[in-house]
Amino acid sequence: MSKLELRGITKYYETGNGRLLALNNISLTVDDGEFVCIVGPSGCGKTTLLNIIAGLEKPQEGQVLLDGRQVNDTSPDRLMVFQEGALFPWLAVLQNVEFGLKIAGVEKGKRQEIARRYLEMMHLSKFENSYVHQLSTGMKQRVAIARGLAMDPQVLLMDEPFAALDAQTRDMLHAELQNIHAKTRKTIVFVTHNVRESACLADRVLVLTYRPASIKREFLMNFPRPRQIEDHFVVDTAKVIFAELKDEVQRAVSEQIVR
Amino acid sequence: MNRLSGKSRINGIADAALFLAVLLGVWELVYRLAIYPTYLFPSPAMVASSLFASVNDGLLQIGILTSLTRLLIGYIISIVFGAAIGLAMVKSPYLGRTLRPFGVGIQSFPSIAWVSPAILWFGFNDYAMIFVTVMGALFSITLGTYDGIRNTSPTYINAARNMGARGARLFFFVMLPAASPKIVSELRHGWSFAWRSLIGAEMIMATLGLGNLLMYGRELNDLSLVFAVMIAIFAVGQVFDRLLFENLQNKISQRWGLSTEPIGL
Repeated sequence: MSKLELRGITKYYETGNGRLLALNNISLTVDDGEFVCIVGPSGCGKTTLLNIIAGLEKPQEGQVLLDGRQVNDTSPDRLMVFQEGALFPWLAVLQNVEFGLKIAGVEKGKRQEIARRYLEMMHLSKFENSYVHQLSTGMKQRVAIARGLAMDPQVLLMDEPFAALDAQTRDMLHAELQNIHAKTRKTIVFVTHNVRESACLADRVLVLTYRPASIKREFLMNFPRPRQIEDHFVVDTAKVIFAELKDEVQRAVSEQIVR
Repeated sequence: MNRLSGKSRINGIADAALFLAVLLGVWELVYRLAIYPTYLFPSPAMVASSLFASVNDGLLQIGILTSLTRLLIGYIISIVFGAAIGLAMVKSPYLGRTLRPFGVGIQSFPSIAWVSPAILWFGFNDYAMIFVTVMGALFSITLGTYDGIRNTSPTYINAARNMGARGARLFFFVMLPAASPKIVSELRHGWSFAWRSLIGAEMIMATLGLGNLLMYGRELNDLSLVFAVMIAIFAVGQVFDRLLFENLQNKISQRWGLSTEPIGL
C-alpha cells in the first residue's frame, strides 16, 4: 500500500504580471519505506512541492494523502528537514532535538532519552550541550536529521539538506543517511538539484520539468546498497538522468537571464 | 572562550581605571590653574566631600530612592503597554503599518516636551513625572516587540509549526525567544530613555528625586553638590545598564553566536 499519495497538485502564485503556475497537476505515490528523490533545476518548484506535502503551503487544486487519508494542516507525521537546518539558535543541541517531543507533551526524562539516542546515531553525543553557532554546517544538518527522526515521522521530507556542504562531509552523510534508512525503513522524500546525489540515495528518482513543474520521467534504481557517489552504476545512471534534466536546466537558465 | 573574555574583562577594567585617572588629573589641573573661580569650578576633592556629605545627610539616598521608584513604576508600565501595543501591531497589519512610522517619529521627539501637558493633566506630582517617563520609554519597547517578532525568520516558524507548535506554545517557545535579541536591545534603550526623561521632568516639577536635587544645588550656588548629584545620576544609570542589560545582551549574543567578543560600550 502506498504511504504517501499526491493527487493532481496544482499551485500558482498571483504576481504583479499575472499568474505564475508553479506546479502543474502533479500526481505520485510513494510506497512505505521507499526512498524517493525529486530532482529539478533550481527554482522549478521542488521546495514548494515539499512544503505542500508538509502542509506548510496549500495547493489550489489537488490532495495530499497519508495512509489513504487526506491531510491538510502541517503535522509532525510529515517532518521536514530544512535546507539550512532551521535549528533554533537559542537552544542547545539536545533541546533542539527534543523540541518537537516537548511540544507533543512527552515528559522530560523520556524525551531526553529519545533525543540522546538519535544524537548518538548521528555521532553527536559529545555536542549535546553545544549551541548551534558552535557547530559546522555538516553537524548542523546532522542535528536537523536527528531532530526529524526523534519525532518518528511517517514520512521524512528533506529539502536539499546537503546542498551547503563540502564534498567529503556530503559523502559521509550520504553513507549515514542510507544507513539510517536501512535501519529505520522510513519513507523519505528527498529534494535535490544534484543528480548524482539522487542516483546514489534513491530507490526511485523523479525528474521535474521547469516552470510549471510536472513529472517528466521517473527512474527506478535497483542497485545494491550501500552505494557511493563514485560507484559506476551511480555515475552511469546519473548521466542518463542528467540528459533528461539538461533541457530543463537550460530553460531555467535562459529564463532567469532574460529576467 | 572563557579565558579570553576573562582577559578582556581585566583589560576593560584597566582601561576604565586609566581613563578615570586621566579625567581626574585634567580636572584637578584645570582647578589648580585657577582659571575659574572656585564656586564655578570645584575640585574633585570638593565634589567628593560634597558627595559624602549628602550621603551622610541621607539627602542622596532619598533622592536615589525616590527617582528609582518613579523610574521602576514608569518602566514597568512602559513594558506592559509597550509589549501590548507591539503585539497588537503584530496581530493587525493595519495597526502595524500606521503605528510604526508614528512610533519611530515619536522616538526622536524630546519626551521632556510632555511635561507641559502632564502638569495640566495630573498636576505637580508623581503621576505627571511617571507619565513623562513612560512617554520616554514606551515606543522603544513597542517597536522592539513589533520589529523583533515581525522579523522572526519564517523558517523558524515553519519548522516549529511542522513539529506541532501552535498558538501560545509557538509564541512563547519560538517567536519570543527568536525576537529576544531585538527586544532586549530595545529594553535597554527604553531604560536609558526613561531615565533621561524622568530626570528632566524632576528638574522642572521639583518634588524630591535626583533631578530636583540638581536644581536645589543650583539655587544654593553649590556646584559641588550639583556635580555630586550628576555623578549619582550617572552611576544609577550605569549600574542597571551594565549589570542587567549588558550581561543579558552578552549572554544572548554568545549563545546565538552573534559576536565572539562581549558587546561593550
